[in-house]
Amino acid sequence: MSRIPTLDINVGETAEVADINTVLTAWNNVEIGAENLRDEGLDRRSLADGIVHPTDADAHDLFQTSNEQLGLNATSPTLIVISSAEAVAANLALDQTEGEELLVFAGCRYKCSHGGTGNNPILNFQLGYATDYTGTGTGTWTMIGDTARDPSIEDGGVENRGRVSIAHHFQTDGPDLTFGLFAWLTGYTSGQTYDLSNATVFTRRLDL
Amino acid sequence: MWAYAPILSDTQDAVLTEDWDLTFAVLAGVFNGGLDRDNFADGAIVRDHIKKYACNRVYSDGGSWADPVSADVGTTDWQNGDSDGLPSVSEEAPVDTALVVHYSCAWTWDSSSGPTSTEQDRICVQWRLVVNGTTIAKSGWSPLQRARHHVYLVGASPIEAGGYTVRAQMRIARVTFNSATSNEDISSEGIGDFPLIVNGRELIVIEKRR
Repeated sequence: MSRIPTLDINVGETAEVADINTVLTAWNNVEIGAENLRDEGLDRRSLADGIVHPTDADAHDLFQTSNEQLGLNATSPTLIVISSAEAVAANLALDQTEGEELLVFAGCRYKCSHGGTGNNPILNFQLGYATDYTGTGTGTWTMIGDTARDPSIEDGGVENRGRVSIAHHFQTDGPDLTFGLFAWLTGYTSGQTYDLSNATVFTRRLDL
Repeated sequence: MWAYAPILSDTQDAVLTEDWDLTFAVLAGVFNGGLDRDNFADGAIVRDHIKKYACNRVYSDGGSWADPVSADVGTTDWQNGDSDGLPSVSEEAPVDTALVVHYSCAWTWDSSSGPTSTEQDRICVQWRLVVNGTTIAKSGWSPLQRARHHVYLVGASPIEAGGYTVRAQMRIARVTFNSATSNEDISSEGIGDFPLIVNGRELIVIEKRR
């Protein structure tokens, strides 16, 4: 414990060496801890930059596409690709034993021009993560099951527009985590057109 | 710095007991719970000095895709789903806290067994987030025509230190717009014909403590 005893020397008494040594020894053994700090006595002036809400590159990442309409006709989970080399993916690390928490937010606009009837097409979205993704379209991806979103498309030639948004609390530690948003179709037939735009994956690590 | 003003002695002075006692009493008073920002250099506190979860804490609750929750279609009241299956978080906040709450899920209407009529077009589901009984976010009505659909809600609320509960809730109703009152009229007519299954539920609660 780090509280420091005091030992008054009173007028008319002898200042015993042992008493003085007791006080000095107590001071020498002080280990400053929580008991020594005044409640809420520290403010931002005392804190190093970015230790509560880190702003370093490892603490957050954002990947987003433009409002360019990107055609989709895949029938299996496909990373939403914005060019031949880039995909909607965001990367960082997580260590929960250090009090780190990781949140993943993803979203995408969709537009479906459905020319036929009776197919009940479904547009599927899902978050996935990889530990070996290099940004070139490769990687071993694990789908995060609870993040699936599967809006159905109304039949009858009506154009459907919407935006899907997903929030996820990721709880698996790892040094090289990359998150990606996947999309695919079920009930797709040729002649129907599906476009995605403004896809985003935002990862945010909270410390402490 | 400090509340401490040193009482220094000159050469050949006698050390007065009053000065000695005062010096150590003040020093001990500062160290015994009085240290504050005046005693630390700017930026002296780094990450490893701060206790885990002193500033942020994240809780979440949800359910696997393979474990869906059915809606109680016998009521138009706000509900927690079958067996209170919609996610909730009940915790103790150690200090006054700002809560930031996110919720997203997907759902499927089963319209195969119900009657086909224009009335079914008005069967809808609505979502809200509740902190200690107070609504902090609410969706619009999503109709049955969107047989599969999804929602994302976010809200924030200050709370006092102590226990709190955050819930995601839904309600199902037949909704019509009353042009005379510019309000929605809701009823239970027909809602029992169309079971609603909720998947992919995830409620995230962030305690922003400092």
